Amino acid sequence: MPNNPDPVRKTADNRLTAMMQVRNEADRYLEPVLKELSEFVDEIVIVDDASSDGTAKLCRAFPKVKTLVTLEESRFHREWELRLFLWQLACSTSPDWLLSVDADEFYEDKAKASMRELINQDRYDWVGFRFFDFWGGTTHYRDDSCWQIHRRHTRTLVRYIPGFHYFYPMMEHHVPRLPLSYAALPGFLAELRVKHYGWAVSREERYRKYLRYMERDPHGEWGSLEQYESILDENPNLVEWKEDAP
Amino acid sequence: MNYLIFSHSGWGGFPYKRLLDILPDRRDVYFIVRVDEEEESGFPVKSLPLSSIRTLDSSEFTAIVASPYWIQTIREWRPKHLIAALERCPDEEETNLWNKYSGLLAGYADLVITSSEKIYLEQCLRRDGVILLHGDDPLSYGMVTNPQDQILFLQDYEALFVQAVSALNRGNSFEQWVKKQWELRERYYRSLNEQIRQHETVNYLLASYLYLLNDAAAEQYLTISFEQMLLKDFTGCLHSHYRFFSAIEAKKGDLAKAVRIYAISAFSEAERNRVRLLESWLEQGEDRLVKAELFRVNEDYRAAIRLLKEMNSPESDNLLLQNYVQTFRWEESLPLLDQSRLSDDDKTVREVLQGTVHLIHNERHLAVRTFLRASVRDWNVLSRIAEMLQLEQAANRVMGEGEKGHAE
Repeated sequence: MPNNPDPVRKTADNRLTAMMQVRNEADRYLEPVLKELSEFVDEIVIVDDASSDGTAKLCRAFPKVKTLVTLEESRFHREWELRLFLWQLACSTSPDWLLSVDADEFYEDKAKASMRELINQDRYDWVGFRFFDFWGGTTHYRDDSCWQIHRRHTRTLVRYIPGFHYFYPMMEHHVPRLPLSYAALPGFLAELRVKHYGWAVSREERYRKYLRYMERDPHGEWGSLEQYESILDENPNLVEWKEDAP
Repeated sequence: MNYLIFSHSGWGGFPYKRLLDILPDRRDVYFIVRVDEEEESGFPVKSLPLSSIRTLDSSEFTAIVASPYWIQTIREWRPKHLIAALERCPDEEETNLWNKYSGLLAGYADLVITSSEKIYLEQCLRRDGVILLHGDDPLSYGMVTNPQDQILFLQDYEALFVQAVSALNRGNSFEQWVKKQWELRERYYRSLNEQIRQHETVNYLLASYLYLLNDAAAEQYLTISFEQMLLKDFTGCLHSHYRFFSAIEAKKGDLAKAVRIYAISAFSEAERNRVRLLESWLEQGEDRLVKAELFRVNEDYRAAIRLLKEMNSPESDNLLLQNYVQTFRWEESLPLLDQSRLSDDDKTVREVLQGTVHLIHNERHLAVRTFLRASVRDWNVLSRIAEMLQLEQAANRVMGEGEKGHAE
């Protein structure tokens, strides 16, 4: 029997491509996120959802951003379409592995150092990480009944397998960032952490975010109303973040 | 045609009484278990003690066997035709024993009937000649006059049963009736799908019948089913659902795509070796081997066996052997094993199969000797002797039902 390599899963020389959708992120965390990503991924694919600030220009400043598409009209309210568009754009670059990143997410050093080990194997096709919602700053994360994302794993790193059946649920909001089809494939739940700074903002900014959620999903059709309300909690339970050695 | 009925738990628990009323081309119908006179008066059957079957000319009988534990009796008596009535394992029976000997009984049968759709689909993927004793069409599909001159209106599956048994008695093919039932089931699930949209099981069953009917639309419904499984968090569907696409593509003839789909679903070392083998066959243009193997790994043994029986090479014989073993056609597998070069493990397997065939043929001593010989290489084979005793006890139980009734 010929000793052909596995036609689906390479164990070496896998290229890692980050994929992002961004919208008016120039004055937030986009620059440090792109800087960090540039240290450990091979390529970055970005869909700019009709930003009106300098987001596109900032993206172009990073050499690893090989593909950038700016939409003329925002698809923010058609999230399913936007996710699918980004996915198809990323796949068109023939990646080996894709890392789905938001413009306010930072992989801890240990995660970045483990990235090649995570992708150069043939036992599993996706990796889940523990995400932590930082609250009101970058020193503490929130941990209470409505804010428990760090207690489970979030799938953000996937092997791209041409020919597999990929699909997204047709939802308007809270669409999974990667095709749901990966749930059928074996995955690895890594004890590696990701810092999410989406809520590491001022009380006023959090209130604006609350209003946006309530406007988009007033009946809790796509998410939990209880969680939306908890954005306004006066004294949420916060836990100090401790860096691990890489 | 005369019929001889072998029940599992006596006349009272016999689930196919109505079928006895509509048997085609009937002369006498005997039941191997006591039938109370009062009960008998309602049905045109005669009870017969087991010991009397030797006085019957078996070549004039079609046997309907409703318990796997009659297998030795049936192999000894050799009726002209054998209809195996397969059902789910009763609570009081040992599941492994029941399923194994049900499989072996079906392997010898000319026609399989069952009221379980799960067993039905499994059998449809294993062999020709399977009739489901269940239908969902409220319309009548014909009528017959029973021996008491009563007119009976037939449901769809009853009409198909009558046609299939009639074809069997006449030595004709019953393929058209089997196909007709697939079409009826496909139509039923299509209408159900229109009522309950996006249901994973309905779409899966619809895809299964379309697949049996060689209809490429199977892919469309399997896709819906696969997506619904994941949306409902039933994530263990890579083999049951996703891999099924490879069989559909193989039927359509896109073998490169089919192998690719199989490869995506392949994780164990054995599966990955199989991917390499499939790819090398693809490169060599051995398309029929590729197809047959993809059918086999999708449990469509029927399609695999059909292809492989037309071939004649060491590779095709080896695949045919695996299909025979997995579908309990063990007697047919033995000559293929004999012409192969066997490893020690293969020799053990061969002796286990041979020992079981001896047992089914009532060659008890040969069976024990064969199992003991194999146990020298692998002591686990000794469990076959325990299983042999289990089968004998089970067989005595079903036989005792008949004799007990007559002794009273």
